[in-house]
Amino acid sequence: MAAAVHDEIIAAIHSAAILHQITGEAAYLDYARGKLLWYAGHYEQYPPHGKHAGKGRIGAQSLDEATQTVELTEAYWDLCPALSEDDGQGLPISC
Amino acid sequence: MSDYLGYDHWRNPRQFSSCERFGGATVNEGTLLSSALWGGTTEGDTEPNQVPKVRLRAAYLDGHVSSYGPEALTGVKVIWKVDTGEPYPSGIGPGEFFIREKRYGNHHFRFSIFNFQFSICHRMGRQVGCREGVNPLQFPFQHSNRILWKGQFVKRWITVGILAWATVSVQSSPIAEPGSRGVDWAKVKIRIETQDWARAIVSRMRTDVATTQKRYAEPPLGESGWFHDYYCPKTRGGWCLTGKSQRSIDARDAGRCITAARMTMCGGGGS
Repeated sequence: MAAAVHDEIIAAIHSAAILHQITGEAAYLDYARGKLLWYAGHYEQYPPHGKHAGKGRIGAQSLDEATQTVELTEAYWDLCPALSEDDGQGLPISC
Repeated sequence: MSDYLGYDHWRNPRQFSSCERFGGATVNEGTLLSSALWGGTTEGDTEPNQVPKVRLRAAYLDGHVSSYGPEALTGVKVIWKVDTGEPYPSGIGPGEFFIREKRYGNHHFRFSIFNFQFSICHRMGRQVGCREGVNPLQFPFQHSNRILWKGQFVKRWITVGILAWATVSVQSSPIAEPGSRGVDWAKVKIRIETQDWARAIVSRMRTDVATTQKRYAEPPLGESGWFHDYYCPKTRGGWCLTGKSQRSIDARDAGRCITAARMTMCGGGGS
């Protein structure tokens, strides 16, 4: 059920990023930033899989992967002003 | 408005869906993959091929919004066979959409939205009939028996001119950036301060984040598997296809891992 676990964690990243925007609480920034960067660093390690409805790496199928990516992208957008150049892992941070 | 947004899911027969509230509608709760919608079966609407008895509003490209009743509605079906214009049969395919019937001569024309080609069909009692012989590749539509009069021609170009002016006007002025990804966070904060429902959403988000944070220290590695594959949180790995729904597994096995004897197929590691 790892696909559902990813789904829950990514939803939490999304929510935490919004909560950081609303409240400014550092704990939400730390959680969302940490998990977002974790996925950025490990994404390639997830093998593409799926036989029912397209393939995904962290998602169960291509649609899940797409919707999860939207949540991660929105979280990145919300967190972006608080990220540093070091967080980019070699990629430029651009808000 | 459509029959379940045009995918013939028919969660309930003759239940219509819309993003706008209509008489007698209740909320169809959303899922992980779909948003919540207004849905309902309209009064006396039990026969196939009836139009829903609701009032709808339509927004037009020139900016005006008009309201119209069920007598002005017509069903639009997605074309199945392009050569003949034959629509998908009821219960199969993208379903039926309900829009205002605009009277252009004999009522039959085709048009395209996104990748669908639609055919507006005559309603004859319970039957739906479509004419043939219309070029489906004309955009926005080609009416099979329509004469474009000079006055209409001028009116059309005036409309095009107004739209072009409006487009240039909008694009020439800078668009204010309300905040991150277009959300006006200042207004969001005001809502949270002043509205109970907004505070309830924030409270639920806090709870959800705390629960997930407590439940999973780190995301699991390894193949994610299908949505019904079981993940063992104790070993942070492994997945098992049990043939049972995740809900039933959660209810019975919360906090512990399923034993191998109860698995029908396992993969990954540590389970």
